[in-house]
Amino acid sequence: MLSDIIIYPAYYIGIFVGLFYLFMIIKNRKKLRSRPIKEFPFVSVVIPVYNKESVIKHTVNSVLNLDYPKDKIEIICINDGSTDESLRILKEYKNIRIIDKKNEGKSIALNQGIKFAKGKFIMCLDADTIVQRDLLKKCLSYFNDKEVNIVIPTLKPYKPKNLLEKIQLVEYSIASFTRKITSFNSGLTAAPGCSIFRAEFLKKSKGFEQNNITEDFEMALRAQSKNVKISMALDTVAYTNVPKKFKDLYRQRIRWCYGNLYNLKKYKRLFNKKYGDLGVFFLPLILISISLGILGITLAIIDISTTLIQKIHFLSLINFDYKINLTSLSIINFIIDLRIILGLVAFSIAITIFNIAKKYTNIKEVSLFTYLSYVFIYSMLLIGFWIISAFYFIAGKQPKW
Amino acid sequence: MVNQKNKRKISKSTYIALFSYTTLIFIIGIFIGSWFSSNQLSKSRYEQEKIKVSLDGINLKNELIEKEKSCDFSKSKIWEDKVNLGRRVTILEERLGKDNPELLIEKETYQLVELRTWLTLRDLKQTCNENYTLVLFFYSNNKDDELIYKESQDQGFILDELYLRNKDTFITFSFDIDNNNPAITTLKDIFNITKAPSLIIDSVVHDEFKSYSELQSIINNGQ
Repeated sequence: MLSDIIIYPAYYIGIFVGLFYLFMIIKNRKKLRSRPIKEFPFVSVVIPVYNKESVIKHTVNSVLNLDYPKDKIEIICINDGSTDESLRILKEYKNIRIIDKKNEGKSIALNQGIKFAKGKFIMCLDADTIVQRDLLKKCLSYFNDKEVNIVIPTLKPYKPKNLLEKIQLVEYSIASFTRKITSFNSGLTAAPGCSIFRAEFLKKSKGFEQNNITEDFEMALRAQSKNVKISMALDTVAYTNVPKKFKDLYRQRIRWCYGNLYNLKKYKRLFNKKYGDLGVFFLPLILISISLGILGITLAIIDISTTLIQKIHFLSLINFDYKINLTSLSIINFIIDLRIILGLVAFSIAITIFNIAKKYTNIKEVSLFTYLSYVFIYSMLLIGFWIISAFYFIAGKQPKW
Repeated sequence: MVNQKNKRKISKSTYIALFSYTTLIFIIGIFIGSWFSSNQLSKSRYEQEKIKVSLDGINLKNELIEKEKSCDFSKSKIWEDKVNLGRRVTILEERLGKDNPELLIEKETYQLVELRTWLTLRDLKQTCNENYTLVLFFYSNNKDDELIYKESQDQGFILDELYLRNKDTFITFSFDIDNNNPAITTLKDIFNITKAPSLIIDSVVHDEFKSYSELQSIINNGQ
């Protein structure tokens, strides 16, 4: 089988990474939860808004309901040339600052807000993201470490209803947990739709890069390039609206994947031992995983198609008069092979990590069917998105969205 | 807040330890894998011995009675053992590869057991007027000639399917045409088998690929 070429390196890397995460969980098990904050510094919440009439109220309300002294918080909403009712809704609030400007994109809107922010810390929040009440208190505690300049919470889909949203709940929860583990080794490269920054760092860095399609990833890589620490509060959540339809998911992920490839190329200097674990392990791991995923799925598709064609050919030989042969499913067909043994080891490690992640990210309500869909279908989809984005990237063509 | 001078750490000892553990898991995996393979080979040898003993029992019994051969034998038991053994060899072929030296010896022995089984069952069929079809199938595993290899595979598949549908009346004995064991060579010489795929159905030679329908009709018509 062609896929055998890829299966052993993939197992080796998979088991290695799995053990790495397990080891890090055990080593840092007491640091998985946030510690209470002692003082309440002034915080600015910057929300760029573009045509978010359906969700902006929820977002602003969630910030107003934060468990944090009201005199220590300011909300700055930048209406980025919305053509819907967003501005009118924002004007209903008396206690927020509104900056109304023509549409120029999220990064410019954010930077505008950052310019006016007075807080010692600035929370950059997407207009469709709702924060949990204890989010600020928990996230700010990580800034006690003077080297920490960015803190992110767990990100989860807001009230997932259909299967696609529920699968994304599993995905986001696992991603949050692995981000937390990665943060212990200063390898975190994410600053998603809800991130809290030390204002001094953000202002010195001149804010977000304009016209970068994944400006949050760029910001994280830029922070890493300046040896700035990014931490994560696993036990508090920002809820975001995730795509409900495949078409929207496709657009979002192609944009993310393309943007990530673009920024990885831009910051290729980070692939260096000078940047510690990030340079020698975490960043190469991203590229290796993408490459193995693309190669693996391509070879698997070739193998499956070949087998399928062969099966159809065999069936045609017996005039499609198929009879199930149960003896061919005998146990000896399964347990004899090295691939099966390694697969079982890798699977056990994955299950262990997944169960720990489940405990810390509270995703108990998800059904087995959703998990299986995530593992066997959704993960393939994600690789498919990477393949398409890689094509765009290699061709030097920016995808449309 | 920006720490340009901060030296970034590489968890070298962690990576070395995990590298060792992962390698150890691989080595253990390889050992367990080969243990299972050799275990399957031993089981295969054991089953071969079982068949040989059953055949010897039948042959000795008939020799003792001499004049009037006994038809009191468990055909289904030999049948079942032979099919299981064949299946095990096929799985080992898939797992270890068709060129594995240990397996090649195992396969040659298996084909001799097949030959002995066929001889005994052929005699008993004549003596006891039994109504079953015995098929000798000569195939080629030589991938150099793609057409022959493919036809052999197809023919093998059809014969397996026919067995599944006629478990009590139909059995195939498969031989690699490139097997140069004296007994197999003699068998090929007797029936003038020179190419694969070839079939000998109840002593009649068919030296070309036979379709499912053709074989079904041969079985139904008792040739």
